[in-house]
This record gives sequence, C-alpha cells and structure tokens, in this order.
Amino acid sequence: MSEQPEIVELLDECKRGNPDALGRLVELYAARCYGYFYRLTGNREVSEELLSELYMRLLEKIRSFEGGSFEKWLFTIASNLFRDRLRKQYRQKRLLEEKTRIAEIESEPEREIDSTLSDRLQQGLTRLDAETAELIVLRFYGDFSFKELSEMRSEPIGTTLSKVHRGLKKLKEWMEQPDERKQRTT
Amino acid sequence: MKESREQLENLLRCFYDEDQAVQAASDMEAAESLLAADSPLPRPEVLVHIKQSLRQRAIALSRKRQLYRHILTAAAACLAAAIGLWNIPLRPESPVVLQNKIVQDFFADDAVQAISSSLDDISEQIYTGSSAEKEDSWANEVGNEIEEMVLIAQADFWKG
Repeated sequence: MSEQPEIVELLDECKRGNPDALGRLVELYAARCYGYFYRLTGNREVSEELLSELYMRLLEKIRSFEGGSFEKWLFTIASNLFRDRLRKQYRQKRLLEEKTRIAEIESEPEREIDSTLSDRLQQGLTRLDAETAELIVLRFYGDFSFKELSEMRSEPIGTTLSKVHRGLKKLKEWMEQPDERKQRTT
Repeated sequence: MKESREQLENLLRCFYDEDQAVQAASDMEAAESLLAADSPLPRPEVLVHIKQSLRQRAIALSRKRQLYRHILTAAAACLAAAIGLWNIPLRPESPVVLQNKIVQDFFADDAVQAISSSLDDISEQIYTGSSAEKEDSWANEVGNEIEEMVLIAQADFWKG
C-alpha cells in the first residue's frame, strides 16, 4: 500500500535531514509508538527510552525506506527494538540466575511492571504470553491487518488470527471480572 | 491496514462457522475498544527532548555525509587524473635521441664480433706490411708475434 502524498513529501524531507520534518514525524507517530511500548513493558521510563531509541534508529534508516506503508515499516522497527530489549533482559536474567544459583528458571522473560500500576488493562496484557500481547498491541497501535501480522511473524494467518482472538477474549473476560483489590478493600 | 468489520468476519468464516465468526469479530472489537478507551501518552518534555536529539543527530549525520562526499569527489578526481596521465601519448623522438639509439643498437647487436673483426683487420694490415718490407726485422718480428698469438688463440688447450 502506498502512502498519502503529504506523508511521502514529509518522508522525502526527513531523508534530506530536515529537522522540522523530523519533528513533524515525532508529532504524528510518537503517541502510537509510545502506546505500543507502554502496553508491552508497563513501564513509563522504559517506554520513553524505547521511543527515543526508535526515532534515532528511524533517522539512521530512513534513507533505506523505499516506499510502501511507512507505518508498517515504523512498527517493524519498533517491534524489533522491543524484541531486542526482551532478549537483553532475558540474557541479564539468565546471568543473574547463574550467579546467584537460583534453580527455578522461568521460561518466559519477565516484563517490567510499575509497582504502583493500577491499570487493569495493563495487568491483563501482562498476564498474557509476550507473543500474544505483542500481536494484540501491534495490531491495535500499528493498524496491522492479520495478513500483515502473519507475514511479520512468518506464520500461517490462521495461527495469528487464533492467537489474537484467544488473547483478546481472555483480556475482555479479565476486564469484565470485578476488581479483586476493590473487593478486598470493601 | 486493519480489516473492516466485514472483512474480518469474512476472514473468520474461513476458520469458524457463521455464528462463531460473528461472535469472534464482536469479541475482538469489544476488546480493542478497551485499548482505545485508555491510550497512554508520552510526557511533552520527552517529545521535546527527542526532537532536540533528532535535530542534533541530523546535523551530525549531514556533516558526516558531506565529508564522505568530499572524500569521494577527491578520490574520483585522483583516479581521473591517474587515468589521464596513463593515456597521454609519448612525444615523437628528437634527432639527437634517434642518433644515440642507433649507436646503442650498433654496439648492442654484436659488440664482440665487431671488436674481433677489427683486430683481424689490424693484424692483416701488419702482416701484409711485413711481407713487403722483409728487410725490416722489427716489423717481421712483430708480425711473427701476432701470428703466434692468433695461433695460440685458435688453439684448444686454454679452453680446458
């Protein structure tokens, strides 16, 4: 899918290194990209850090963008950044475990969650497995179709559809349940 | 871009029956509306900071690219100059150069043969001179000496 003419023009300016055009790109996409990172990490500082890193990487790579959907390109970079971070976290966790000789190794890397987190939606997302949560968030913030998601993940469309459907259904059920903490306080 | 509700239902019908497909589409829509209802936003100061960093980085990148361009231009100019020099035709040779070349060629051809033929000529002249003046014992003696030297030179014993 090709981009709108004004976006194409803006991207051309960005390729020339025009700082104003780059600023406009931040205004246009920062909220969605931040939302994507925040929903996956549950941590404001980490999300801001990832957002900043994303724009720096975008500046370095923008000359290699050869048309097509810019949003798809942008969120692919965002997804790679998030996955790099997960891998790094996983390695750090493994190192720590080896050092402290903790026998219990969890198969899924832990995602960072604010201790004061009261966002139930965020809690719901963190209860899902990382891959499903990412697919849901990528679909929502990146505006990806199931076909695009399955291509990104190199898996059959039915698999992606099933993961997202199951994940969203679980999320909806959890959200509909009465708040446990509220119940405890009353 | 995400599918419309109709497209989503059609896609779900490939995997579920009619009722299930409609239900799944509704579930998904409802869950996604939860995400839409509460979208976190980055702090404005973070955006300002990102814009500033981008500006600085863009300037640095532009300088770097300019430098590379200058280096490339200089390298291309050097290459063009080298190719140009390589292809320049040699000037036609001057008469003095040609003369030197002829002399060099003469000696280079067979210098040893030339010298030995000159030696033969001299000995011949001396020999003929001595027969005409037989009374001249010195000339006769010299002629004998040379003849003897020639005989020695022609002999095989010194070749080992």
